[in-house]
Amino acid sequence: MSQVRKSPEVHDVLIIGSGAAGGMAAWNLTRKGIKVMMLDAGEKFNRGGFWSHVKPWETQKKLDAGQKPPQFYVDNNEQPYHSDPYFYLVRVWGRGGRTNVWGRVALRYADLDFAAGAKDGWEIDWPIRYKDVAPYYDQVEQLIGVCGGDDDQDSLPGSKFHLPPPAPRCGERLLQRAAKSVGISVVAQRKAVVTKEHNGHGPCHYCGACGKGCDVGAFFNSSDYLLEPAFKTGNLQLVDNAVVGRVLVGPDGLAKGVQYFDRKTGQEHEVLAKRVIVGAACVDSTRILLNSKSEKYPNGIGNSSDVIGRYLCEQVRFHMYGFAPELLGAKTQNDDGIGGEHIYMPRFNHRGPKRDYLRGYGSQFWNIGAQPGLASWARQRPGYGATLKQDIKQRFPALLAMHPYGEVLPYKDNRVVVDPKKVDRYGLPIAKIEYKIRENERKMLNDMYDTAEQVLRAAKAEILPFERGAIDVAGSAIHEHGTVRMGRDPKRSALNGYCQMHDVKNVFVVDGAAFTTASEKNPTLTILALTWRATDYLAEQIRKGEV
Amino acid sequence: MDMSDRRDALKGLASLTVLPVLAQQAHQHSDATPQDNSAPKAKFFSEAEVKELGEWVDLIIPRTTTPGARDANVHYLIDGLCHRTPAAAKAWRETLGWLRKHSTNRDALLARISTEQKTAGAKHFKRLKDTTIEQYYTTREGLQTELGWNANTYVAVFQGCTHPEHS
Repeated sequence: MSQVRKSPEVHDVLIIGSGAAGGMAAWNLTRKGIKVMMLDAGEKFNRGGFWSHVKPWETQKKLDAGQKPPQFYVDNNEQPYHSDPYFYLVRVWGRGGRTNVWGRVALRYADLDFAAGAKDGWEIDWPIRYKDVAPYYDQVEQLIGVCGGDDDQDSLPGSKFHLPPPAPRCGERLLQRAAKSVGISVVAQRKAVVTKEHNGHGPCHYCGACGKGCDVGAFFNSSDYLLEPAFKTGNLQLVDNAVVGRVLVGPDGLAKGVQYFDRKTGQEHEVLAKRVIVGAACVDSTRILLNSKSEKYPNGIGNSSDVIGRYLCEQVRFHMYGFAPELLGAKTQNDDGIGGEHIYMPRFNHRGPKRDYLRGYGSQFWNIGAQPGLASWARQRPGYGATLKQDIKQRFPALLAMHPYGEVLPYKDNRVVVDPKKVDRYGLPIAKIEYKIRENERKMLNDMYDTAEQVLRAAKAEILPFERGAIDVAGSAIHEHGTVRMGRDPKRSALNGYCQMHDVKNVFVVDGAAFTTASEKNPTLTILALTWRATDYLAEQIRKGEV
Repeated sequence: MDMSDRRDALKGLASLTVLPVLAQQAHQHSDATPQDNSAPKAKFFSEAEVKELGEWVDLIIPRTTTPGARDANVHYLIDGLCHRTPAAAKAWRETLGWLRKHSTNRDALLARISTEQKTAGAKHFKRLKDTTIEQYYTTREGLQTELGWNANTYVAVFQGCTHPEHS
């Protein structure tokens, strides 16, 4: 093993990770004149190499010719993790992290979410409320551009800053109407897609291929929207291929820097900083903190409460499909749009009769209409020959879909641990995920199935066969939260309301790990808002000389 | 960028004055898709076997007023799949052999095994049908010519639903 390379420079702030959380921290601090060193585990993805406009019939030809799309996703053989039962962990190492390929759903949390624990008594309360975050939601939306409607609900706060929403597809209009007929509101989806030129970012051209990365950068990604402006300040340094192992602790009990390994060479480095911001995404951030053991912090830095790693929560979800009779045999339209759904069903179960479970669910609607991934349902059509061909053609424009997401409560033993017996290529313990849903989620799923079926039946849909109670594999929502949660009581939480460690004042954790609960909503907009708020606070603390 | 993509792009651009300058400037493209207009060649099966496979896939998705699975070279796509994937090769060698052995009357055979469950015939029918569908509806003939899909392109304004009765 070669000698550890130690850099003598002490940075103002060191940020681990360059996704939504790390990117926002870098953007906000550098514009305030604070010198930032960022460590990212990958490299910048070449937007010119994105396969956004590779047609389905071209894909294999390109692969046969040795061409490859960008390798966004971390190979689990390179950086393994264990899970029992299986947990699907999606990681993107590289500038911008998962924001390169994210679903772009940008929903504000409501006090229904922030005050959930206070209301129902399950686990702890968030230490903040909507009023604390609302100004930051405003700022984030103005900065990155979020399209949406003015059809806010008590469970889905609105915004004065939405860009124009895209027009709904026919199937979406039918489902909106059907839902309304049974008393359920379906609103315009809020997505971080630039539907008109915004802050120098050119608009979406509606190719629908956002999952392959946007070749014009028309949806928010941390690399283009946050890191590039941060570089322009002259205050940001970034090291690519820097896989962080541990946060290092000084004799005063404060963080003094981090240890990282070069992903290409394996060379170990140490870099020093006065403050450390952790934003490597929930599971990797947790792994880093739990591996940061020292005499002062024997079970991981900032973990005197023993909550770090615990309370892993995300969402349960499933998919229900049908065909709209009114659209059978219709002329095929271009149903691409902004990629994914243009409508959203906000949570409504807090109104009306009391349910036999806690918390709630909403629904997304991607894949409606003429979408190229039709084999999944076409295979299920009966028969063969010209009759089958005609049957598929008739149904192609008529597909309806619902994808409800329900909150998973925080449970103490749903957790991420590090396993000292199993180490990665750098000799560091890998993450092990222990996670399962419980009775509350199963009861909620019953209600979710009832609702999805009710809406599709109201649309007179021919519903595709489904297995009631079946859910996607754990982790597939890609919304891990809660393992370094914020709270008022240092005995029951790791962070305060500004994402600052109770135990170690110069460490902040700003990704989904900081969330107290998962809610039913996609978290990225809230991660951005909380990080902006946390780094405003940090900058003020630095100015006052308090951290 | 291949020519068909360029045509799509130009069509999109011609229909607007508006694809914003920023987007055009920012737009970059992946490596051009290799163009090979020569007849496909068998890579795993023999040419005779691929031809035989073509007859089977065309029974699943036949030529009508639009191209069928054989027109779309689905049989060569399956051959390519077998060439790349040992598990697919093993499975398809078995399926083709089984179909050949039982095919004195192909129409009657398909009519029977398409309704069976948990038999060898059902297994091979499912493989034939599923793979034909998976491959055919990713081809230009299946997706564009048959279904009318002409998306993944460049438009300035997304129209959404254009049916007056659904607005």
